[in-house]
Amino acid sequence: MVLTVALVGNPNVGKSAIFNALTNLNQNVSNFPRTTVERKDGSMDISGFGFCKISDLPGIYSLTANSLDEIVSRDFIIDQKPELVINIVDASNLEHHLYLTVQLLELQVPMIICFNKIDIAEKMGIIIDYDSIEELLGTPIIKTIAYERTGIKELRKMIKTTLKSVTIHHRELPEIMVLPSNIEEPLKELASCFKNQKEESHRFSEHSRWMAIKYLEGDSDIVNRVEKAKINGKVKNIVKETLIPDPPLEFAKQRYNIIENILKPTVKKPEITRTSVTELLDDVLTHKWLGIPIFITMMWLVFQTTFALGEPFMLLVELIFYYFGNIIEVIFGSPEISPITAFLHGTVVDGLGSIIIFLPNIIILFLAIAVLEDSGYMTRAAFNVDRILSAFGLHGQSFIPMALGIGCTIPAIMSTRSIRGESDRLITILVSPFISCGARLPVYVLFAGAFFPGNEGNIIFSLYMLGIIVAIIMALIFRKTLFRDQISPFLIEFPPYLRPRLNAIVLKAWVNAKLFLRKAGYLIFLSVSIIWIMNELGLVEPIGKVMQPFFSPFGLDWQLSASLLFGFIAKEVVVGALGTMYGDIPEGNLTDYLAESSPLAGNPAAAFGYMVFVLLYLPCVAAIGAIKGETNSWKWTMFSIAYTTIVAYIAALIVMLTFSFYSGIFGV
Amino acid sequence: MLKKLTDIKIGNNAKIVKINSSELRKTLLEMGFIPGTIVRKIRCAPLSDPIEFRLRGFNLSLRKKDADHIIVEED
Repeated sequence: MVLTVALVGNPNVGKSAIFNALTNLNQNVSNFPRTTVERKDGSMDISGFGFCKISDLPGIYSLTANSLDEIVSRDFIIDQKPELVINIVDASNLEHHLYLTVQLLELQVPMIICFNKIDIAEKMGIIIDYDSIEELLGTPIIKTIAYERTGIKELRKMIKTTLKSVTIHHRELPEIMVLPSNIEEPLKELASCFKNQKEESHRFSEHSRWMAIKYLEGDSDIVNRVEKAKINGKVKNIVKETLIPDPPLEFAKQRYNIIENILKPTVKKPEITRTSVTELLDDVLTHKWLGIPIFITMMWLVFQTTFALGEPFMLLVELIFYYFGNIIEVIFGSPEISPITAFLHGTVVDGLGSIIIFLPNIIILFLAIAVLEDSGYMTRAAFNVDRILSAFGLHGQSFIPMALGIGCTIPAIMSTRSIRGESDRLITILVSPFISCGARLPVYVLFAGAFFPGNEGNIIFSLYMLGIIVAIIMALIFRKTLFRDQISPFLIEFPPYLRPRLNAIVLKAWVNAKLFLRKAGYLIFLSVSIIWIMNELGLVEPIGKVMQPFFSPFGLDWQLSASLLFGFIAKEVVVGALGTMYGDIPEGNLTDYLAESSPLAGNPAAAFGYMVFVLLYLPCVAAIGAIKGETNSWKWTMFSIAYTTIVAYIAALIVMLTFSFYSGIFGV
Repeated sequence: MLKKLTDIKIGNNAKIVKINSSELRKTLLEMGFIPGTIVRKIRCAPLSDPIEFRLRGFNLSLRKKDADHIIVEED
């Protein structure tokens, strides 16, 4: 029988680092059934037990029914019955983190507590008497510095020791958890009531005290279960006798009392635990006038660095694919005579190549995200802009993902994972593709050069602005229609600033990159192959001709229509595809051809409409893969593809008509 | 004199007296906003919302409309 271990802790406590260390990256990301709550499962090798399953539960502050994350986590612990729960707490922030610990102790499950970030606690001058806390809680404590793997060996040893000695799922309640008698007495009565009833699920008998507490607190999920179990009669009597005026307040207060009783004798904290550096930085970075300009400058720097650093790697990728193409030719013969060569050239070299060439930039952006997160700056950026974003139905945390979209949609979508509210996350994922990404630039440059010579800069700038405006409007529309619930609360912790740690950021970027390749990779290859096959079978021209009528308001020919299909692979492929379809036009003359001989000649309004369509319509296949990866839903992925295209068409029409109207008036 | 947490001066401490009813009440209580707790107002965002507070050894930010439900006595 495979043993299961669960990792539980507050968000940002370092659970992922510990999870990665214990599983050696043997992990699998999925979703809890019927939710978008992420689920990470992995296998860990514990000597004497072979491979154990370990699940990294979502970061939570409590075990209430307030959020889906919490419900999913507590149901996992109660119903899946892991043989061991590892609770990870921040040693530098115990008063806050022990709140969850106390609730886990109420559940009376076998537990190890991991005090992470002991290096930070030490730096702050916090002195912790671990042995005394161990005794008070009757639970083993392991000290760790997760990102440098300190303490992981000891953790594994303790996991082994605990698994060996666990015989029953239920454990003794530590003395310190006993509440004042006016609450404790009715609580014990209610608990024994639950324990003794026979029909209901095991959770009543095995977690009777926790169930009783939750019932007295008025937890909606538990109250429902108790009603369904039909033990109501006796239960109502006990509750009637218990005079707790404000149960949620009372129990929260009692838990913090317990925490105080634990910490007062065992932890010495200096008066000021927040460094002056953090305070100073915050004064500047969230300053009334400087805060937002600094943020914009930061993002600009991020993009400049990304493309500067990325360039040599892009050349390297091009070179690799070029040589790969040559090797294939040498082995199988030239593309004209060998179908294998033709296939590999078309799909791998041209198709995949045009996507992989952006991979270095994507990875660098992942690194940038990791630096922003690790340093603690992300939360401050969200803090600065929440007010503006709320007006558009977006959460402050949506800002960085959307800003990243200017570089590339893929990191933008993957970074939405830090957004805690489910509908906030989904709305951000759905509107991010409208933000003009780097890959569309070649299309703009070509068309702006052909139809608006001398005005290219303004035209391209207006396209970027349009993308942002459409994103904001759609966010508002989604908030009022599909996602009518409120923006989730802004309840964000501000950790002290940290110098970003190399291990931590490289690991984060690596995990993201791996995730992206695994989730989007097969989709990309499949799509590229299909389009190549269509091309070989001579289907592009007929398909273009089928698409052409839909674009008749713009007067596109089949080549311009079909090139939009290639935008599915990657937006910049539109340019290459056009060149190929128009036949042998030498470089640079594509501009002239478009301006003079194509159906768009002399029609800048339609050309602008075409550019707007390219700006807004479906995300490229890699981004689609990222959307599927983050939403874990074909429904939302298909919806993204469909609705962006519809919005693109309508917007392109409106823009074209407005443009011709005004140019008619001004004689442009 | 009782005030809303939102209304205390930046840099000042305040003791929580009660938490008014709202959708966020349970969450606020569990985060540590309990009657008797001392909270300090650290700063406001550039557009004056959200607001950063410090309590129980950590820093947390809240939107004005949520902090409005926390009734305090300013130091």
